[in-house]
Amino acid sequence: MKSITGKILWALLATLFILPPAYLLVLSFSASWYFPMLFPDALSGKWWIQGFGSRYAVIEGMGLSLGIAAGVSLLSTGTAFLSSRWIALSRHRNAFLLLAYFPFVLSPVVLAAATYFFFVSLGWNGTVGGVAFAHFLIAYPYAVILFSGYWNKRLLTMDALASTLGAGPFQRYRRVLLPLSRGVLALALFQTFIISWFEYGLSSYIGMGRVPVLTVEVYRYISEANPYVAAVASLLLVSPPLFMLWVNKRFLIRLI
Amino acid sequence: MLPLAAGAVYALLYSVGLAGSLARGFTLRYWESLVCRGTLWQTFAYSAYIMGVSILLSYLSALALVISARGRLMQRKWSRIFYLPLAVPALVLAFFAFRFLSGGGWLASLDFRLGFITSPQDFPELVNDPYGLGIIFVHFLLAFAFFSIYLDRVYANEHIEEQVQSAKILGAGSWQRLRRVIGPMILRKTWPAVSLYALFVFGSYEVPLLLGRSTPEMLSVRIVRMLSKFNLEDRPEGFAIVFAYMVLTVLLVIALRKSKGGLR
Repeated sequence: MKSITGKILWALLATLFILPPAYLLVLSFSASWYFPMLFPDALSGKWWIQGFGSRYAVIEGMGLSLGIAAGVSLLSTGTAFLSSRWIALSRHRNAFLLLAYFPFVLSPVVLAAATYFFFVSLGWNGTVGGVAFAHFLIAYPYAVILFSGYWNKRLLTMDALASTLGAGPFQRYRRVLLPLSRGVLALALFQTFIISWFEYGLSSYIGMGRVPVLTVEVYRYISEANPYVAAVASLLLVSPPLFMLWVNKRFLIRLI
Repeated sequence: MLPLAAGAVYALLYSVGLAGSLARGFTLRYWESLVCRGTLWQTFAYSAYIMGVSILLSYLSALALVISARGRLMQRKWSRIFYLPLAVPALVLAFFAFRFLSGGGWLASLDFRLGFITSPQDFPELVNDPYGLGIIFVHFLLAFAFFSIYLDRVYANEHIEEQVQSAKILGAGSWQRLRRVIGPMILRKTWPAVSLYALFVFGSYEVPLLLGRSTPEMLSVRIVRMLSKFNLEDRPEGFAIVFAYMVLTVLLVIALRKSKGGLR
């Protein structure tokens, strides 16, 4: 890719990629912007002030989303790290990994529809705990798949060596496995956080609209024809992934 | 996996009249109704169409870009912008597409200012349209960014450029290099991830919810609509679609795992 053609292509790609967040940023700061205006008539911070006020549940939604995503991320990464070791050493490793793919690949909202009856039976529908558990159902298998290739011969040999030298299971994790696995653990933490943070279908179906996570709030403002507050909430939804992109772009690549 | 298996069994039982509020004994009439009315095929075919067009367009565009950059796309100064769409949830991108491409959106405003249209109704349907153009646009944007990063990595890791140069020295033309070297090497390495991504698009929900229309309808949206309706008669048919989709997904994942070079 050389010369002017290459530069034009780069400019087009940059426009295509930057346009959605840039447009929403301008929309969130516009006093009003409708057909046939090419630009807002005036800039204003009123939608941000209103969004953060008591009339809208933007802040509440963000706090709830942060709490659920952080909890799901910690729990799924922790349990997957422990169980993936057991899976890696199991005779039925391939069968377990195959099973891990199903909940992860299925449409989350269909998963919610299929399992909804059980959430109702347990009284978990429309509750924060129910939504968090539903997120865990897809985040945990993803983390297991992520860790599946991690338990290689080198790591297992180090673990065996520590065991031979007299370290107990707790010490082996604390002094050998966890320090060696910092990179992959950070990756799993961030990616499971993103899975939960982005989730809309499961949250709206299991939450029944009573658990106002940020994605549900964004959809609510869109369907209420309130694009300005929807833009505010959308930008808040984009902010943690953008922060991750700034820290380490690898955190955003989700597929194996 | 246990909740999922239980969910599949429940969906099957509901669809044959053995579970739920309409359970009046075994019957296949809901399945017959779905198959005879063509609802099942229409929903699956429309989802497959959206999946096929989005994936094909984005994969081929990304491949062309990576080949033209010779696997050094991500070494460029501004390569980080490819990660930007991955930081934006599909719901937010769908909202942007709605604001940008609808009859009252920004593109329509531009057309109005340029004198191409005189009212929003004159603007061509790009969202909530029968061909799913808005849905395809959003999935294209997301998949194109992802495939560009992924294919560039594969191109570099598999040392494809070196193979291309060897083929060139041996007299292979540009079409032969593409058909016999780049194509097979990239496809062999990337098809499992591409297939997984295709499955995600097949089951996508929030994008068609915002940008689709009620007929034709993508699978996830149709399922939720059928299960959420007040008419209880629709629920067994909705669960029949849930079960058919789950079986199809399970079979595809098994096929992907069993095939040579498939999922790890």
